[in-house]
Amino acid sequence: MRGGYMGKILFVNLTTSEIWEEELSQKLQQEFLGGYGIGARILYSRMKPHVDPLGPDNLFGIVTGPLTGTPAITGNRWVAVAKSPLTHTWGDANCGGTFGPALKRSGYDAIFVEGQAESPVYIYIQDGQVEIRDASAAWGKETWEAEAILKKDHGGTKPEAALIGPGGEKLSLISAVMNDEGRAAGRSGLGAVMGSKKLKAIVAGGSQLIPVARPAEMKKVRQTANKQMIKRDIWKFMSKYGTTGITGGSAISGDSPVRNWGGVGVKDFPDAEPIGKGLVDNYKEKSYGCWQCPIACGAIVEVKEGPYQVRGHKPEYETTGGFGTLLLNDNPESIIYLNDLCNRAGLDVISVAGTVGFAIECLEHGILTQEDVNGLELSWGNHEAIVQLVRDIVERRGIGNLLADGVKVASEKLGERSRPFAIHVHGQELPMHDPRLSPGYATTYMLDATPGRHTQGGSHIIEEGATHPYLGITELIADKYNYKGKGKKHKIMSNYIHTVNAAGICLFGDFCSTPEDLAQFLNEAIGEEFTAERILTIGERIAAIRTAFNVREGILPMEIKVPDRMVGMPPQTEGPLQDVTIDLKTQNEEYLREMGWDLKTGAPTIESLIRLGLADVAEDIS
Amino acid sequence: MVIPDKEGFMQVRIRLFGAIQMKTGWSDDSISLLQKATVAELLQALYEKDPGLQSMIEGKERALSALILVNSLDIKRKKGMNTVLSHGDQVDVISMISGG
Repeated sequence: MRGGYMGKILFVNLTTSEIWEEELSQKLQQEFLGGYGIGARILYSRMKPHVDPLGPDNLFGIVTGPLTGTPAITGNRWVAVAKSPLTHTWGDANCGGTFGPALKRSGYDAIFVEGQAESPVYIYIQDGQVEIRDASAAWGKETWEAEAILKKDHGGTKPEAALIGPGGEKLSLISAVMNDEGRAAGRSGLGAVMGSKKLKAIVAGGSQLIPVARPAEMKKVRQTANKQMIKRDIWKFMSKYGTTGITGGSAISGDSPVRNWGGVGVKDFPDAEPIGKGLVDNYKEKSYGCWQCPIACGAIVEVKEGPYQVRGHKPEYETTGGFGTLLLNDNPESIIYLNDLCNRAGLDVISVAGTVGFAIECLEHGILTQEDVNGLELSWGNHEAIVQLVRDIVERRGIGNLLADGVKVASEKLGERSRPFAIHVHGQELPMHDPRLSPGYATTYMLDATPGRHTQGGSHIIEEGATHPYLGITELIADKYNYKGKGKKHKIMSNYIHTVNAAGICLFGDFCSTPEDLAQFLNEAIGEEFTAERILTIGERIAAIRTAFNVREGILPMEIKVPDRMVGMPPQTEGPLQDVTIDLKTQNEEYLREMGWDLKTGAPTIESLIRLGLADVAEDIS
Repeated sequence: MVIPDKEGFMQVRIRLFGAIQMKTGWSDDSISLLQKATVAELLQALYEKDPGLQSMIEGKERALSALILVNSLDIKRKKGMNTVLSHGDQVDVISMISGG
């Protein structure tokens, strides 16, 4: 028997209220695995190019992977997909929590939503029964409150919800899809796509068994992998601190961007431990994990006194970097508060922080005036002003209305002088990993189909010294600043991470285990043999179709612009990143050559698409 | 001017971050080394103090690798493990986790 899949996809048209289901074909499973792999194939096939991302023709999906809801370690991920209103490229955002397994238990591997409702609705799925319901009681409510409203009064098996907050309702282009109060599918602005459809939530639950081809063997693989994992130092660290714990070292190493990518950590923010490890040590109430996760990198934190009293989810590194080092804010309580503010509003913390940094620099350079910011004393490290500005962004109030769509839109409105301070790639604010330290990030940020993303793979994962014999990487990268010779490793790592993301497991689960574990989990869950070669070929096919989606939109990867600061133009004159200027053209071409893609445009070639079984795509973009 | 603590020896400040720091339980210390000692020799001294460190710094555990800075500059941009240390140098050993 094959396992891993429920075998059905749900489609809902909110304009016509039509609801139908289709078989998830074995071909689709085998070629694209799950997650954004299957999502990309479906959107490519069923959506016309050039649709308005906030219009009825954008197809919004939530897709699980074959390991979601199975005993695979960290098998709880789901991915939101759509054309991104933030970047106008392929859009996806990956999330843990409980919703993915709940969607599968409701009977479906994925749901796709088209059209637009006339008034706020949510989609309720229970054991294969599907209804479009009135969401007026939850509309306008913050995520925590809305989630509680939507999950009660359903009886039967406890459902879970993927939903938007006021950010998505107000069509903020930096809004997220949330679940479990504090877990965000944050990137690509997909909360606004749900908002444009007046879709407050998808609520799903049920008691259907998630099939596993060889359950006894699967259990054995989990036990063995678990035993190995808990011996690893990375597991011990992630279980205690989560990513928050890396903040202090990242500010010192140059990994954390500082002062909106213009500062130097060792000089401008020499002690970030109080907002990293210190934040965990001083404010953590208890740890928690996503569904059946043995790492449990999440935590509940509480600020008991002062102006930032709140009990909420622990900020992860992207948040401590964003609201901390990026803005020179050393007040951990304000960072906890800002994280909670964004979670409740359903906004992407990375993009919000980047937008605040942009606003501070615009004020410094006279592009914005005190009058524009309503007298707010906005400056580096002024946490009171930063909190007020984020409140304004949440409410789209005053200057917040300009900033609620991210730095690209704001910069276009403020004019050319603001452009150097708008740190984004094709609209997406950059994450808290500086390519000047790990240059592979630069190629990922530019050439991956979702620009500006750190959870896509590439040579940055191994630039500091690691090999991957199972995947064919047996030699260390001797010099990460030698831009020739890393292309094959970049190809392997990016294709591998596509498969990890599509499988329905968490990147941290992968980091705490091995690629062999992934292969074994897939073997036992699905009941087919997964080799390294098969894993990498699936990833390559996913990379090709995501990129082809952009090419069909008229967006050529090699024409995408990146911020000068991201690549060290000009280079910094002190600190760990001094004198670094990334030769991005060479690094990109090395990767494209290995992929067999066009060096000039960055598009997949006809030959590469045909080799991957994508002849229809080859015909489209030829 | 910084004076070595005794003839033939020098003091180097060493700071640990992230998982490496958690493993050892300390974050900031000073170590006495022969003058002109290299990073490799410094690490050897550390391994004698904390044997578990070697696998974390040189073991190439997946996704957890160590970045070593001398006076804020990556030793890979100097002479790697053969980088010669001077009295008063600051060495930062940072465990890196990709992603996050």
